[in-house]
Amino acid sequence: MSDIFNNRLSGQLPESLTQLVALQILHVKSNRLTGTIHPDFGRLPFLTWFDVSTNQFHGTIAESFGSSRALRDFRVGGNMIHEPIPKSLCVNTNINGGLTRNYGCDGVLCPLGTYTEQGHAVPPEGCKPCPDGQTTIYLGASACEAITDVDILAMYYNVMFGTSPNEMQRHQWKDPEGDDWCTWKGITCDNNGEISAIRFPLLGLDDPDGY
Amino acid sequence: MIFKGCAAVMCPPGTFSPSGAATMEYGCRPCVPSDEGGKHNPPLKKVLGSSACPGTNFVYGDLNGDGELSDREILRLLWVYTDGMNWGPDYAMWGDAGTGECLLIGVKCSDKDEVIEIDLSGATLCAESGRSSQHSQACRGLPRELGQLRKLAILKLNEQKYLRTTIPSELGLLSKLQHLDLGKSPFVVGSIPDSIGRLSSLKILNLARCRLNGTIPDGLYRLTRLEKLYFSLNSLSGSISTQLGRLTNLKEFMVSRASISGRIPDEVGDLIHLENLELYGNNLTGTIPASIGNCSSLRRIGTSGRSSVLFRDVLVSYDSLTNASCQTFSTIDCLVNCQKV
Repeated sequence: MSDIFNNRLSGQLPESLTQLVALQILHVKSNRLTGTIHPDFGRLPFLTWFDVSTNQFHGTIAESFGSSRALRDFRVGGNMIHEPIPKSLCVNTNINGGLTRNYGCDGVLCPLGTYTEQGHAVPPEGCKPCPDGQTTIYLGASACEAITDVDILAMYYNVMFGTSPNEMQRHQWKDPEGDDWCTWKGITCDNNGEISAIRFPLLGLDDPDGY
Repeated sequence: MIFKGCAAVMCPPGTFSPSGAATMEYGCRPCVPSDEGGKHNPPLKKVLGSSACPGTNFVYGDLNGDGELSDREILRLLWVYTDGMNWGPDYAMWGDAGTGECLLIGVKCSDKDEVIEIDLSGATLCAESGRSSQHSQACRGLPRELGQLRKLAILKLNEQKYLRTTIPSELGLLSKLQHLDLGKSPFVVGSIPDSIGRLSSLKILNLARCRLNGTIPDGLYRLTRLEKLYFSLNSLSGSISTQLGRLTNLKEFMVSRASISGRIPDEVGDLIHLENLELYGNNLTGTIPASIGNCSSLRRIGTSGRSSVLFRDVLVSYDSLTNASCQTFSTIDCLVNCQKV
């Protein structure tokens, strides 16, 4: 079979799914799902296999997952997850085949600057350090990337306005994947097109000279 | 009366068959007097090997010449059409039309000696054509006459490695059929007939791991008694209809790696008995409907986009936790699961 396509489901995981008390397996890997991972999933009494990896979820992992007694597989790599990882997860040897026994938190999500295809430590080498000149922005990366000026702007964009397009428009910032960031409000470039200054008008850091 | 001997060369006087002789598939049929005067019949009375008889219809598969298809004659057609000689040693009696249908291996009858179950999962249908890799005349696929086994409740022809066939639309006539299984038969080809919607008793439909194309027919959504549906690993097209909500008895809906597209309909939330929803590895778009929260029996949701992960196979290993089952696939996920053994 060669004509197989991946699903491209988008939007959020409906909060209503957290009401499915019989749920044992939620496996929505490799879609384009967004939003956060609701803490109530960690409270589902029979949830054994939770795989939301390789989507576009952001935020943190709730403490509730660390308290789950049913959880065996917890796959959240390849998203936009940041610290902290609940300590209770890092010491839970029931999950991910006991990877936490040897790797601690890395058995849940690889730390910044490291990666594996799965997004968590895998024997024998655990999470692999990124090649020179590359790093990761989020926990549980499946690949490293070279971080450029505009990537940093994109992070700023995500953190400050990410889910609020209105704010974006109001401040005349455009799609961070575009190449005309020198024209964005608050950005100053030098003659080479390199970003030389960022002003943060919203934070009161506005410097009239741009430095 | 089963025609043997000379009839296999030429039909006796006063009888006929399309080829003028009895074959593996049919016998010679006596001419029925077409009128009281018998004007048309006398010429045939002395003729051997007639291929037609005015006023008398021929019924294909009719071995005893009574003009009707008995259950035994239908089973015999199935045997002939799928190279019964090579089904395997347990099934030799299928070829002997003198052995009653209820005595055949793989057949179960009701108290009234009606055929209610055919399970040929132990036989190798079309074995010779599979071995010789040529499209043998010995394998003509499932005869449409199967649809005339009106009391049939179970039809299992699963895991047939060599059976090359379409799904005859006449199977839709099996109004008592509760369980149809053609799963893991990689040469079951063509589309799923819309007539499948006439199987009003159907509870289990397994067409997974066949080579079916075309869309999921609208008729399917008329099967309101359906509890388990397996369509995974086919080359279907089109999407899941909003009529899905009519299948309110559905417990398992498994349509993974089946090349379907479109959205998951909101009506999935009407399936209040749904326990297992598997849609991974398709080309589905849109959102996961919030209405799924109404499916209060749901235990498993698999809508992964990654086609390389055989979700069901991983589940097998997950449930049984044996190393053997892990050897069938190679993802790290599997290895991680196996480490728990």
